[in-house]
Amino acid sequence: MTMKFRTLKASIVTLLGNAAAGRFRTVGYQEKAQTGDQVLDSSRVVRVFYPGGEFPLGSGSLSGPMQHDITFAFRMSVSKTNQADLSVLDNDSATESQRQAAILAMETADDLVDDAWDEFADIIYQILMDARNLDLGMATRVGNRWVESITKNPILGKGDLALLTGQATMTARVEEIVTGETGTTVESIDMGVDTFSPDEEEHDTVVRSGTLNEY
Amino acid sequence: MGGLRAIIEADQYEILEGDFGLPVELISPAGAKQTKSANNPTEDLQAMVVYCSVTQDPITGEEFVMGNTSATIRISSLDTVPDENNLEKWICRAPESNLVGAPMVSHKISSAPVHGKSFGRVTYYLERIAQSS
Repeated sequence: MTMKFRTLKASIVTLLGNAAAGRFRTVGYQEKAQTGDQVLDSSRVVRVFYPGGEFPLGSGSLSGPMQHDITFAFRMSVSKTNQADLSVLDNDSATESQRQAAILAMETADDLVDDAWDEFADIIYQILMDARNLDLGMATRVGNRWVESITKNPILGKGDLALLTGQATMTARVEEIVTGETGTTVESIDMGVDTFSPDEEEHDTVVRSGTLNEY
Repeated sequence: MGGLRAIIEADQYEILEGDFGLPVELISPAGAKQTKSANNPTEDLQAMVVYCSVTQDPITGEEFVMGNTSATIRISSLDTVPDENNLEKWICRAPESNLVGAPMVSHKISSAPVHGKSFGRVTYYLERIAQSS
C-alpha cells in the first residue's frame, strides 16, 4: 500500500490534465532541463511535485494512522514571442510607411508573457480551489486543502523568447496508514574473509554465512 | 601604415563579413530598410550571427535551452546606428540558421541591456516574432 501523498499527487495530475482542455500541459515530476519552445503559448507547462511534508508529533497514534501535512508545488512555465504583421515585415515590396505601421503595432513578448502567466496561475488556482474538487479527485477525504501562495519570478533576461516561471504551493492534510515494510529474506553471503592471525596455519578463521568457523 | 584602428577595422571585416558573415537587414522604426553595406554598396550588409545557448532561471535553478540569436555588425557598415534608447522598435532580419540558403526571418532587437559596442562593432540580441492574429 502506497502512502496517500503519492496517490494524491497522481490524482492531482489527472485532475489538472482533465481540466486543461488544450490550454496547458501537466507534468507530474520535475524536469532537469527543457527548451523555451516546449512551454510556448498553450504548450505552457505546470509541473506538479511533492517538495515535502510534515508529521506533527502527537497527531497520530503510536502505530498509526498518522497525520501528514502535505505541501505540493505547482511550477508554471510559459514563453511567448513578439507578435507583428510578418506579411509586411517579410515582404520586400512593402513600403516604408507600411513597415513603420507594422512596427508600431507590434506587441512585445514581455507584455504578452506576463498576461499569459497571470492567466495560467488563475486557471490553476480555480481548478485546485473549485468546490467540486474538494477532495482533489481522491475517493477518500482530503482535509484543509489550501492554495497558500502564488509567486512569479522575473522574466529570463536572455533568449529569443520571453520566458516566465513561477509557482503556486498548496497544502493538504491526509491520514497515512502505517503498513510497515516486511522486506524479503535474502540469501546469506559467503564473505570469504580470512582474519589476521599470528599463526595462520592453526588459527585461520573464516567468516561463513554470518558464523565464525575455526578449523 | 593605417595605424592600429585601421588594422582593427580590417580585422572586423574579415571576422564579421568574411567567411563567418551572414546577410542581415535592418529596418528602422520609420520603416527604412538597409540591405547593403555602407562601406561598399555592392556588398550585402553582413553580420556574425550566433544562435543557441542554455539559460538558467536564477530563482529556481531550472535550465532552459533557448535560442539566443545575436548579430554582431561592423559599425562602419551601418547607414544609421540604432538609438540605444529605442532599440525595441528596430527590426533585424537574419537567416533562420547558418545553413546555406536558410530563409530570412524577422526579429525584434532586444531592448535588454545585453548589447554592446566595442572596437568598431556592435552586438544585438534578437527576439523572435510570430505572425500577429
